[in-house]
Amino acid sequence: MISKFLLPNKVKTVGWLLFVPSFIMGVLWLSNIKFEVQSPVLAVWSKANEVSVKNIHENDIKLETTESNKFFKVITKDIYNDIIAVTLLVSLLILTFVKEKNEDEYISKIRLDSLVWATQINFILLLLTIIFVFKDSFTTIMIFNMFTTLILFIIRFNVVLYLNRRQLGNEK
Amino acid sequence: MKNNLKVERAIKNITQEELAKLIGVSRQTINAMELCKYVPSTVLALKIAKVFGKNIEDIFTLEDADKINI
Repeated sequence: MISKFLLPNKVKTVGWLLFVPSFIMGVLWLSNIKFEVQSPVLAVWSKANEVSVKNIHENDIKLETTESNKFFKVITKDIYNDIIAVTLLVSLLILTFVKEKNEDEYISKIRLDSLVWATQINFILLLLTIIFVFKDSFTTIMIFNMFTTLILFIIRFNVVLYLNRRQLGNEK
Repeated sequence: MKNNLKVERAIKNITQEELAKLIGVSRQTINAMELCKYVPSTVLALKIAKVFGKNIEDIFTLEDADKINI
């Protein structure tokens, strides 16, 4: 009954080694400490509003917004935030789907319960966000929301395992 | 579902750790079963019965809440 789609236990260290720096980078990014990494990237879809200044007459300036829709084009952009998001997501996915040393059916059950719990909490929080949070604050929370399901799962799963292990001390 | 795993273990004089090794699970699983926090799979229940040389019904029994109408 053990899930086939779990990574070997050894990978867990890699997960933590990747998580710690990307988490720190993420926190710094949120407190506006950012670095610029310009790089060409393949944009499968890149939609942006471009504002251009139009001189109609000598003193009459008009701002014109044009929508540019690019498909499968190589564009150059700052990819620092993309690097953070990718490393953070990969590390969280590793920590979520890595086998425990003593993975068995009871741990599989805790895993499933935790995943259900994390999904429920995440979407309740998302609903509350949609109802009560607006504009830029909403965008900020949506950025968090990309990671919260996995983070909630990892916290719940490990807390339950820890409490179980602690209980073992009292028994023989 | 209730079980008398702890009693059976005491009779056979083996620790949670030893039972866990015999049936290939973690000690946490044995502990969770003894505390009735976890209902084992049929495979695991059969393995446990085999270790103690008993029938499953001698170790695991239904509670009032699980009773069915026959």
